[in-house]
Amino acid sequence: MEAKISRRKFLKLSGVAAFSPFIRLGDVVSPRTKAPTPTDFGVEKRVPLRCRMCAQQCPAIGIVKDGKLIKMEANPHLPYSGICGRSRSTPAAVYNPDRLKYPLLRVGKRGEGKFKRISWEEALDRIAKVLKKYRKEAPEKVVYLPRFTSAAGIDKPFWHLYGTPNIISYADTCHSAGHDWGLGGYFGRPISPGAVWMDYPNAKFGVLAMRNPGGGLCVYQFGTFFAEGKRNGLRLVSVDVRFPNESIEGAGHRWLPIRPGTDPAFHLALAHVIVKKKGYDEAYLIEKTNACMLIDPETLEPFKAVIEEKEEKKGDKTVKKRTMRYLVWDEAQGKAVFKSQASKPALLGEFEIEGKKVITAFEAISRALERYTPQWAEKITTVPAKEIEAIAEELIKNKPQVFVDTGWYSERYANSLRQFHAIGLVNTLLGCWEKKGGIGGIPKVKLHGVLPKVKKPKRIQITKYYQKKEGYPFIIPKAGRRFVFEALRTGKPYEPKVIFAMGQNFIGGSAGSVELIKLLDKVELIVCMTPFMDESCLYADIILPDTMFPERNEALHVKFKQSFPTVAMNMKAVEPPFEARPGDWVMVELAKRVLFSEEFEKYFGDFVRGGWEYGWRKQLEGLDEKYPGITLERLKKEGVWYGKQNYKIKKKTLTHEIEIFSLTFLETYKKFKEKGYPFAEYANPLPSWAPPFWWEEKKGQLAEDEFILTTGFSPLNSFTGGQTRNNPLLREIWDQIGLDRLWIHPERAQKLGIQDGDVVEVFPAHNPEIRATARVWITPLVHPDALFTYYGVGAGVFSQLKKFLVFLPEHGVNMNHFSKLHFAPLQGGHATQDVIIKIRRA
Amino acid sequence: MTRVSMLYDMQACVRCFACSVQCGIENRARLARDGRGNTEKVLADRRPELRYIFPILRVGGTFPTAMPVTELRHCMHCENAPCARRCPAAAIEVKPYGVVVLHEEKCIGCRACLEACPFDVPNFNAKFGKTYKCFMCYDRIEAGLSPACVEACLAKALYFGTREEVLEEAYRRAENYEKHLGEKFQVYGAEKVSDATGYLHWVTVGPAAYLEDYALRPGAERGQIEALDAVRTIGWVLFGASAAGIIGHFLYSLGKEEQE
Repeated sequence: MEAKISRRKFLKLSGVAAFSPFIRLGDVVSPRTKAPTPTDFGVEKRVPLRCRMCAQQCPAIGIVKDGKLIKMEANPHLPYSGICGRSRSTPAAVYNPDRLKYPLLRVGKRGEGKFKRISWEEALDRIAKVLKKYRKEAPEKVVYLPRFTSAAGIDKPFWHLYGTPNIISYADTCHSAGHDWGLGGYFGRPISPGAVWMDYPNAKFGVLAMRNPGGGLCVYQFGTFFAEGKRNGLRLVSVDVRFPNESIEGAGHRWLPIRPGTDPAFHLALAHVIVKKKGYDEAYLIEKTNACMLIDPETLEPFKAVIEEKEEKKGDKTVKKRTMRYLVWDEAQGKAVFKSQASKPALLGEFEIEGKKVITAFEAISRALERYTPQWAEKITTVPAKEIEAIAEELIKNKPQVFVDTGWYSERYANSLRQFHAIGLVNTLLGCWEKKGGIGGIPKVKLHGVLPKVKKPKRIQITKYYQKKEGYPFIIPKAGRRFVFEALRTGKPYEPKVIFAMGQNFIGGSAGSVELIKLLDKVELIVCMTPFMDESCLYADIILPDTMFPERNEALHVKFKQSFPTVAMNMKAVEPPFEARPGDWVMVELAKRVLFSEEFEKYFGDFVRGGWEYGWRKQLEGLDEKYPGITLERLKKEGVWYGKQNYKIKKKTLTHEIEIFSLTFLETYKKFKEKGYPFAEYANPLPSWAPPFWWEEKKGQLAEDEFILTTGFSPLNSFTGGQTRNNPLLREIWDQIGLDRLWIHPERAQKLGIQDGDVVEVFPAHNPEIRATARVWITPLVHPDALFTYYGVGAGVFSQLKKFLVFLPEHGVNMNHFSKLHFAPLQGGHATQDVIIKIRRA
Repeated sequence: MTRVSMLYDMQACVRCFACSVQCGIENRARLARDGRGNTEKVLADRRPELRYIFPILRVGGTFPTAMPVTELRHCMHCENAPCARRCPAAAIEVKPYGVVVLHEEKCIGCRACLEACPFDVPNFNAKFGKTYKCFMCYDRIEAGLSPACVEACLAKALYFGTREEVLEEAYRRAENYEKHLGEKFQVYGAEKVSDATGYLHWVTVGPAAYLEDYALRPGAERGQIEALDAVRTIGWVLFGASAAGIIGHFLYSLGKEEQE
């Protein structure tokens, strides 16, 4: 066929010649002359890293081109690998213009934010001078607060060698110890969030309360697990003050709004329904728990139980193992016998033995639960009774492939110990522990130290003092940062004189920030080491610019909240900017200046000469016998080693069973009741409701302008560190979804005459002088009694920070700034949300 | 040629938006690669339009049964690519495997594609006078890698493969969800969604009710986009902005007429 060339076609063809960049040739567009390929990135190096954009260290791969970190990827050598958006935004944190570049010395008043550049030499000499003075006088007055430490494996031995027992983490502002001992009662040891995992992939139904796995996302830890659960069709109910859309958007899920701080009532009512309907796993309770234990109904003491001591060989050590043998009512024999001799132990019932009335522990629990009806709970929680019944039904029907999530960030209210005790009870009734589809225990590999072992100094640790002497038996001593400030307030047991914060933002991250800074006058030297300015740096005398994780080698890490034991590597991928230096270098430099030379040689000599190559080999020495394949070569190449999945949960109870009737709680309960301690009820081994502080104060009724300010994590931010809250790339998305806003219920907003998008002033009722501004989002996704804001957005009360962190949003509040320096009864958590907050139009 | 496709599974998604972050990072790495700024500079610059996939939050209902629905907006890579048909500068290429690529260097910033797109996808940056949209990381695809957002998705809510693989996976997931959750699920974009668009190379699995609330996607019902009148009008509106563009328009419309 002959082509006809029309005038138009001719024009078009000539146009091709004249304007070829713009024209199609027929319908095919020629490919780009130089089609880019990934190899064009000239990817030279893929370096194993552990992400530290939040604290969880998900194994990752850093991609380095021309000496720059250009991307982060998930480590592909793991079964449930993954990293989140924060992690992927690492390059925007590493090359952030607001990074701290040089050591700084304070020149203005503390808090003023005036500093001058000094040399490392000067900074280290100044610190060493003060440390030397206190090493002679009272080394315990030096407090080391590690968080995002860049000196893991080096710092602890150094400070112990120096002579201070006060190495104290921040977990009291997170999960310690309401979560840890609330659940820990059942296992006779603290159950931290790193002790158990929810089997999301195999569960059929779950209740999310105090965890939003999508919001407080830790990917390798449980994020990929959770997503697999969702892909498998897991149904979820979330009991939350706000709609946690990260986790439960989609079909098959429900949101039940709950009044802030009343969760224990909800869980108690669940337990009530499960027991009432006999929906518990009877065989499990009899076999695996101490539910059948005969106790005295008055004193709650186990009836005629005996404690046996046995010596057991553990390696080359002999350890004493104490075991309680207790009586049960054997229905087969019609009498009380030791459990091991009973063929049919009674779960419920009241019996008479030798003229004495006894009941089973489970009978006591059932009786205690009588009053916690769903109707009772509805009045407190606002969750409808019929919803509570429906959830209980679902749990019963699908058990044991169900869970009530054991949560994470618990230290929000005074009653968190009771809350997690109640969560533990529901999970025990349903027999979820150690079951596929339920809740498993997290296994860990034990590595050797990088440096030779150093004994913990004998001097009294601040937290231990409060645990032993001041009514906080459930403190976890290594995790009680705020007691350092309590020590400043009370002078007991002594006033700390030096605070060295390694990546800890102890001001922005602790409830009562404003109260706390007033106490700092008593501290002689405050040193903050971090890559970004934060609230604490504003009050520091010396600021040391830290590296970010891709800029340093680090000790191997094993603490992953995963069902597989995991070891992971972090290797230096790029050079630190300006004069940023890693913490291990700083510790060695301080050790040189502060320790005696023979001490230094004995403990640091090999490490200084051999570097991390030596350190890593030391950590792994002899381990490949027990864990095949765990070699440094593999870790350097693949970045990770992992073992077999585990469900078993380690128990340290006296009965070696899961103690549904906790003897640990009983002991404390008795002791504190005798003393007449007002909060003794918090240690009751039986189910028991305890209100939050605010409920007591307001008799459960908030006034028109009063709220409880609640927080939750966003997958696009973490904590109060500049790496995420001052990240230009994350900020772009914050702006798109309004992440910095303060959520308020429409009816409450209307009563206060507040419009959507208004900027409001937020302040605590107990101190209206503490003020910060926030932009309001009027939304039906939040409980009327609550305000909600994502954690750590904006500068809050410390507006001076905006000068140092240019990507912070203009408005935004941090609950810690408003809260009080108060402590949750018995366990010392920071109960940050447990104060009354007011708002008014700015 | 074998067609490729993407899948977004709303039910699996944990709304962490790692996809969006990674898209921004990948595109910044491309800028650095192409000598358009060093790593520090490209990372500090605010360029939201370089994230070709991003969230839009919506809320429906009233307390306590209110429900948020997060739309993940991205190019649908329509079968008929109305944007490509409308682009006067021929800056939008339809790859033989189905991916719709907007070549930045050819873009004249006329925004015709913004008008043409029934999903409100292309993003215009006034500072650069250019429009941006997802090109499904065709450079990565051609090198045998999955698109950056798929690599980033920890939930496997984003999935990439040949069209057959993707549709099979999509239907398998929809069926599984229906079985476990007792709600109707839909695979949006597997079939033609409108005359203008045809089927989509980026399909979405989600609860049928949600997909409606998701405002999925009202514009898709916009009638067939007739290029001619609109192109001429826009062409003159843009007069003076880009002479080359005008000529492009003209030549393009000639070509269009010829075909008809």
